[in-house]
Amino acid sequence: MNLITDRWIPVIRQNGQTDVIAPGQIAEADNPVMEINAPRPDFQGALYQFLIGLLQTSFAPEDENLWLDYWRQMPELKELQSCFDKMAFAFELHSDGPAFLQDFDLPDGEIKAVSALLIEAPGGKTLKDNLDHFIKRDSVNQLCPSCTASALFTLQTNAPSGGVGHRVGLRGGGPLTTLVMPKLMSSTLWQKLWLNILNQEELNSAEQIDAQVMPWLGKTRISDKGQITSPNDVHPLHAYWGMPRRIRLTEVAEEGNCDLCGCHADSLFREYRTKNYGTNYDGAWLHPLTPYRFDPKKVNPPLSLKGQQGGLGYRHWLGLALQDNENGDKAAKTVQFYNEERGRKLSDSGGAALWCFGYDMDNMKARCWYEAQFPVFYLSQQQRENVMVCTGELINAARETVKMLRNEVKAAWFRRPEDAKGDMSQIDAQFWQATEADFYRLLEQLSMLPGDIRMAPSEIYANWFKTLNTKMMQVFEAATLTSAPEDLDLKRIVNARKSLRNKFYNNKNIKALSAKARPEEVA
Amino acid sequence: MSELNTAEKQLQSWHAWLGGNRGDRARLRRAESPEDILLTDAFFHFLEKMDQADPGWSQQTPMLASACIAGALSHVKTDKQTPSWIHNGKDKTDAAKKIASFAEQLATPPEGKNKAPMSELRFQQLQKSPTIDDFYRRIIRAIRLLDGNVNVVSLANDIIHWHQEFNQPFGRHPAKRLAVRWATDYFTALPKNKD
Repeated sequence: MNLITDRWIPVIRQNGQTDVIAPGQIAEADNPVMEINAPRPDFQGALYQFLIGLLQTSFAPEDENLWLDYWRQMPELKELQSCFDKMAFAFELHSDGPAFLQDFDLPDGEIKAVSALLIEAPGGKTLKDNLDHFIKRDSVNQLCPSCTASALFTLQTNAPSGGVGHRVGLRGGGPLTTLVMPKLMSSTLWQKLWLNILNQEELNSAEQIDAQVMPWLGKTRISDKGQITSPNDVHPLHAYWGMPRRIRLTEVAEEGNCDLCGCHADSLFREYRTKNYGTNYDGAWLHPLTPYRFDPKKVNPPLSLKGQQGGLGYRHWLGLALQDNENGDKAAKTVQFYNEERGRKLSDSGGAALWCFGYDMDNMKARCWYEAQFPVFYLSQQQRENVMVCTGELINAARETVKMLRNEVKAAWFRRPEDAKGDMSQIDAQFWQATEADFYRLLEQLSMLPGDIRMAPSEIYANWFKTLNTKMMQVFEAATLTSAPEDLDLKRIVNARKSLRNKFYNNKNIKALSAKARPEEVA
Repeated sequence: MSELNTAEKQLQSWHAWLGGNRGDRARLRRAESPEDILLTDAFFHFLEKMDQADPGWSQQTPMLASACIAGALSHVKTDKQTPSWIHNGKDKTDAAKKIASFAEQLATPPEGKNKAPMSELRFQQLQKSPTIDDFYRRIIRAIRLLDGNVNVVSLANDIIHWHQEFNQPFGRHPAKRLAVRWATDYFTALPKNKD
């Protein structure tokens, strides 16, 4: 199968029908494609990134004006297809020569079942020790070419560390991806993708498609002696096509049904060969679709933000959508570009939201898949700074509150709370969820303020103070008192509640918040 | 079911009336459970008085809850209204607004002493009363431990609240439960409160 000329991407069209298309067909004007229809959420994210990669590599607009033209009017089908066709030679899924995201030459190697391409699949040691309790072995034995291609891209782009010499992805294991999505429900897939394409002034295009851009077109830059691959060694577009794992698929000419999507296929994939010491990405890589944390001392290279236990909430909003000065988190390049440039031009077409997704990995174990939508606003330079300062204060106060809340719930539950082990993150999650709606309401108010008002009005702080206080108490009471109170150790609970209240009112950050909540006295 | 807001004065005046009718009071005091009270003259007088203040009061309040209040009041010597220190803070200069609740009184040591009138163990027993009769007995004991000096309105309200929760499923907000409210007041006022 060729990933450019064959139809393999599952989609939904405007009239609601499902279809399978070749990449170029995203520019069909008649009954246009609206959304990708992948069988798994991680494939959904991967297919978006695959198409964005294709567009960025072969169809990046020369400047912002040209970008805007294509935003208003999608290109002619033929125009796009001829651009894609030039790369078709590099996108064979199975061939004797170079094959998509697979090692250039790998005669020998460990044989693995195709299910190992899926990130959550139990690993070798898990199977040996019979520990595959939740995700069982042998649930996926054969994949159709379409799912294989998605799985391969998902693995190479999210690759966690997989044992000695099995390298992590270009952005580290399990990175977050943030895509700018138009808010309008009637947006086509073309618009959703195009919003994440940078023009050539922002990101150089490649003169020719070779191993500098797509690593599988040449010999793999192996790393058995610790050799690294830094951004200077290859073309910047390489970021979209990172290939840390050495993999070679084995196709079986036998028809059957895919274990993932259930579709019928003429040929299936059951196994692949793999070997360690593939490309070792190191150095200051910056993937344009991923937010990074920058070292304030500028000593260490930036680290990509990863999925974390507890998921994505508004506490991450500042780092994902703008810039969190507290910890150095900075939004992805495409998001920054939207904030600074595109937002203004597109404000009349309904605005945009931030779609944010990624795995929460614990080394090789996939703990969870997280996905969230955040608002983004177009703001002037001055407004942006004001919003950054103010939301930073709000989020900080909430972080302090949740810490106190967690400790006091523990004190109410256990006689010796310092000895009690266990996962208390459910309390955090409840609190974040309870305060989320209020945060976004205040955020919207903040984003409307004119830039020359430096201090946010006191009502915002007062509102937030009240929210934190009441929600904190509500979560505490729900966590400690919901069973019949007569049977509980009420003394411990009452004392914990009292100390929670005391700590809350005496906390430095909360005090600062409530100081700002008082309207300035008129002299 | 009505809270005792308008009926506050009536409640206090009935308590005063009881002081002048020793025979009625003695009969109430001898009662071992609210049921013993239902057929006394004093109880009819009580219902009549309450209905004057709040028409329909005797219809809305369960009979046994009313009986429990009447019986409990017969053990009260004085209606003690002291400022609450847990709600008003330490400064005594301001005119105190809140009055100490029944549960707070149970934990506040009498002047010159440093032990709560009702021990923690007894308090927990009171909290866990399984039947109306048990609750009645324990409430009377609590009043005796306070030497009959009780905030009458708070006591009556809490008795109604207890019967309400006894007859109906609990509400959604745990903090509004009587047990939680009592525990909050009691343990906040309790001297040397450490586990």
